[in-house]
Amino acid sequence: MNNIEQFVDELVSAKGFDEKDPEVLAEIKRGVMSRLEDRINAMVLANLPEDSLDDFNKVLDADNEEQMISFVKKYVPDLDEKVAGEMLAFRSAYLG
Amino acid sequence: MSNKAPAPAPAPAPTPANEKQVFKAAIVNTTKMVEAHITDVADARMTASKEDRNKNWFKRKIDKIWKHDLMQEFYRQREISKVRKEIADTGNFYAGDKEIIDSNEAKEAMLAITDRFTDELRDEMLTKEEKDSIDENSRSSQEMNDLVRKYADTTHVMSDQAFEEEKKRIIANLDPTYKDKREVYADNILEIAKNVRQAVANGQKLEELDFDVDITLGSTRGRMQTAAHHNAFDKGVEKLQNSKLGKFLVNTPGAIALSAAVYSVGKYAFTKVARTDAAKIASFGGTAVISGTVAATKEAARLNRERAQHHREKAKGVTFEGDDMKRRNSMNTTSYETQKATEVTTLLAGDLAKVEAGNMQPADLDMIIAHIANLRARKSLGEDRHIDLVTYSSLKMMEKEGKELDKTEAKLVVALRKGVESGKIVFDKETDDFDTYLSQQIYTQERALLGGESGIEKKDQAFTKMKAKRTAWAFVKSATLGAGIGAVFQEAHALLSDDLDGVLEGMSKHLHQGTTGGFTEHATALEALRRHFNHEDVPRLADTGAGHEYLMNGGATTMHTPDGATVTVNPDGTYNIMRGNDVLEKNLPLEFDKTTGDLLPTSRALLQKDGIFANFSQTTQHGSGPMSAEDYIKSHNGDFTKVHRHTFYDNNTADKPDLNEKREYWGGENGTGVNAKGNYEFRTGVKAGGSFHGNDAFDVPEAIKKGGIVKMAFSVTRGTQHEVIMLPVSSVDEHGNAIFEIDKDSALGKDLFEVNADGHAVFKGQFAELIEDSGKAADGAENINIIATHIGLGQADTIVGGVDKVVPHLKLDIPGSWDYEMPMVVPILGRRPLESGKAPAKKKRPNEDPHGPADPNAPTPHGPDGVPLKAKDKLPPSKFTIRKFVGEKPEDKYSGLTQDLEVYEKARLAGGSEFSVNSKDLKSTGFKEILRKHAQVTKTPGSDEETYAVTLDARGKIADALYKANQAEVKRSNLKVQAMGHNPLLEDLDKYAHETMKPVSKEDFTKKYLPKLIQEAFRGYGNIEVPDNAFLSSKSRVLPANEFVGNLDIKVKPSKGSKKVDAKIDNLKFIMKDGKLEVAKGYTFTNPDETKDVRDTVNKVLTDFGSVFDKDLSGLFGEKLKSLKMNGGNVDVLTTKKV
Repeated sequence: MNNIEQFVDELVSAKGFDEKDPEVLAEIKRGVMSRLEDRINAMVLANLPEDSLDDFNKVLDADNEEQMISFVKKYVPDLDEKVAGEMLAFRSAYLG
Repeated sequence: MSNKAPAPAPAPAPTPANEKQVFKAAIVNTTKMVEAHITDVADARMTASKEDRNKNWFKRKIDKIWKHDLMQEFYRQREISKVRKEIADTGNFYAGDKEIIDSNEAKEAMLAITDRFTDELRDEMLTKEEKDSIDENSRSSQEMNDLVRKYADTTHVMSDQAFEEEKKRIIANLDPTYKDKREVYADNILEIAKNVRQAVANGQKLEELDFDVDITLGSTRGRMQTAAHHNAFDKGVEKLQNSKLGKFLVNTPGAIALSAAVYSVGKYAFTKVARTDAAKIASFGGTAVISGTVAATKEAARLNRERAQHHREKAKGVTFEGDDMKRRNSMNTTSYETQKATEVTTLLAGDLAKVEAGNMQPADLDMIIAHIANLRARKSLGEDRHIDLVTYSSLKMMEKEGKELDKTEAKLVVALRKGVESGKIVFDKETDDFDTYLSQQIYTQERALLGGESGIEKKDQAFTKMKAKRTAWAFVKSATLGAGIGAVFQEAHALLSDDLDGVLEGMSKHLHQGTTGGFTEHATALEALRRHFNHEDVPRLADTGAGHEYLMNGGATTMHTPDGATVTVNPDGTYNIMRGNDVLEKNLPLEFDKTTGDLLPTSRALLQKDGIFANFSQTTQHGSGPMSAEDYIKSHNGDFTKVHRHTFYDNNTADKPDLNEKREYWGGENGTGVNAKGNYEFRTGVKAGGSFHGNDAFDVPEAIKKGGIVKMAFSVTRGTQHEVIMLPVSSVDEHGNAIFEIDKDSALGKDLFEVNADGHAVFKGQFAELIEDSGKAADGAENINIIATHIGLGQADTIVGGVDKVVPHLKLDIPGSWDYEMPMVVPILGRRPLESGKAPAKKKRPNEDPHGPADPNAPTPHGPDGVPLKAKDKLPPSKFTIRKFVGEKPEDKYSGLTQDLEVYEKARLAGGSEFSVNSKDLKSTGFKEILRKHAQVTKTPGSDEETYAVTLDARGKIADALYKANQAEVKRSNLKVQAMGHNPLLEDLDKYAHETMKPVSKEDFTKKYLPKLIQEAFRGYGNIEVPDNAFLSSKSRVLPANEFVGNLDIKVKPSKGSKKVDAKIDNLKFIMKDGKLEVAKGYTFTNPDETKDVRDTVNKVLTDFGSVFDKDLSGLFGEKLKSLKMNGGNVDVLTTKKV
């Protein structure tokens, strides 16, 4: 299990879902994961300099994980802190 | 790139031996075109149909929020996947479109594309991008030549399916890039092969044919040019929707470490920063602004896409009618002015006729050039700007109309150029060069199309304005209303939560209890803002435990802090105030009032700046240790009164106490001197007349009654008896006795009294006298007269007691730790989708079910004739029942048939009338046996695999065999059965199981069947006789595949009773159409003995020749004739049994 899945699992667990149907639970987690990804994506986009967007699109087209991370790290200072911050903010908002 | 256009690929005419022909083939990569089509269909399915728009308000709102906003991209991608699968399943590039286009029509459209690439005028017809895509070196392959030859060989019929498979293999060898299964190609090689086969069927000897298939490779994005115009940011947003970037970033090691820290300490480092008021507000607004920005950008990207969708749909002939087409009407206001391809073609065709007629005037030339320039400008701008300025009747007709337009335009340009070059056309322009002049005119037309009030640039500006308005609204909705909705959700949640304060709870607590209102450590964002604007620092640290005490101000002032807060002193004498590990105040210079020990106002203000309040109080600290009576009296200066004793009421018996002198008693419980409260108590029992001295008498009871005169005076020592503590009467009992109560905590009680081991009060001072206070003396002392005296222990110089000290106290009131939670921005406001357009009406095709398919979005299965099969609910009732085996037994040879039928269905849908299935995909041995018997079997070398090529004829036989086997199996094993519903076998049975397909060469058909059909047509007309072999077919002409021409020698009887005479019909042409034959006009009837009746009869029979197929022709064909169909060089004779 990777980090994001673990994170989402813990969120869903902390939220108190006692859903027994694994498919339903998986759907709940999928939705949470999607929202979290959207939030992080929005943060990245908001932090990228305008003149890097064309290159960013090319990197997205290549669909290569390493390239994407490397590119974003290059242009977004304190990326890890920002990502963790978004995770925390999402956690707070989600758990309410 | 080759600029020299090759000759097109005509149907080959019979050629003399050794004369080599070149057949021009094209293989065109249509991947971009197909991908664009897939997106078009998916986007069209995401529009709101009339039915959707008529749903009730709630359903429409849910759709707008869910399908068209929050989950829009999910639904769109799902539709894209579905369309892609439909295309893969059916092999129909246009599958899924609202405008139903069957496989044959799709193939025709694809052939129109390849025709453009092989046309001799292709340089005039192709776009720049298409011309650039052409591989400079055309390819030829002996393998391909051999394949075409093999297909044309009518003695060993090769199926289309087999041809296609072999063709793909050869093409992949020609160019490895064609092995990529993701790419989609259109080619005309099978058509070339069919033409060759037809030529052979018409008498051309195959061995005498010498040809090369010359292949051109190219690519096209199709007719439509419109694409959504996105800027880099728009594209980023769009692409991020489908990227895994967010997931990747969360899984980076740095984020993992930080998020682990998040869990371990329960909060993130920069939440401290967020504690500042500014950060709170910025964070609250920041989230909303980011949400709003993303929403606005997404809206802009979607508008771009929708505009492109709108324009592409218009280019395909889709119309938008209705009063509720709000979004479409809005899009129309920004749509470009377009021209219909058919209208432009008509215009140019007229121009071409004029040029060819050679009677042009100068004005005509200008007009014609303007027409061409206008069209070219539209094409050029379309290609450059990815927009469509030419529209078509429908998607199906697009390639055909486009090709016609291109061809007409090309012919016109060539004719003009030649005319100008040859001088036949007067060209009196500023330049002699026709093409230069035309280029100038195109440029002028481009400017005209771009400019003006309804020009492209104005339309773009209008769209930009509309987009700005809508994106601004999207921003506002998401940033404010979205955040507002999120905040409302959060407040609602807070009301139900005990450990979270919402703004309503905060206001209520503040109103009723001030800052001590039991605020929780968690607040909603609105409550945080309320606290911020009210300058409230709540909750406070609870001061319910022991807390901490600090000596400050040189030890003079005591400072108390609640649990969880500490004060530390720095070397420079300043202070730090800590809450846990948080430094609330650092290097604070606290200064104190030297008199009171309180903080100076300046220091107090410093604390209050961060919400810390210091509550000041003073306490008196009681002294301790023995001291002299004099010192004691000094230290309790306020308690003592100086007295002058004057009269002792001794009743004139100074040597012994009597009467009232003895009536001063211990009061309290049982005379112990200690009352229920623990205080000390004296009581009197004096009587009237019991106190006198000499002539002075004092009525004590009466004085007690009056009050204020009788008191008690307590002396510490004999030597200090001139200073006493005076005590008034505390109360008077029912007998008139005075009661004196000494507070045990008063200086008198604490220092001059105690309780002994027996629980009796003891007076440690010298005298406790009952006195009459007779007023003040001149020196200010009190004059007193003694009534009775209680003599104490007289511990004069060992009195225990100390000097009381006033101690200043400061109690710090410190704000507690709390945080707030940002609300989720919930932009669930919905979005109005584009309304669905109306696809062009489909023209009814022969033999087509008038009902048409039930679901326009469903995959369209096709029958053997290429006509879409009907949806199951519209199928006519079947006479047969194909059953799905539910309880298949493992030992049953039809075990697995259910799965096999699905494989069969899939192959049939993909292949059309002819298809193949592979034995490795099949499970049922029984089914394989049937296939082996009826299909063309090809064994794969080196393995047990077999490929069954199923022809139209075989399909019926297979269905029939399965039907029978199925019935038998059901009876034998008594299996549980279930109707399978829509199944190709069901239709095969209905259509073909009892049909027989007999391929007959065209020559044989002309010789054997056609004469008999003609005889049958004239049967019953006694005045006309058609002898056997009366029809003499013409072999001298190359005929289109579906035509039969010949002369008919007949005998006619001019009148009743007369003899028959010879007559003939020359140039009698039969055309095969819709499964029947009809006679074309143009024949010549020669009758030597002309009579009108005979001529009328001949004309009637020939005009209505098709009615012969309504007769029972079973005698002619062995079975009932159902239809005829051309199939390459053969005529497929379809007959049916009488069931």
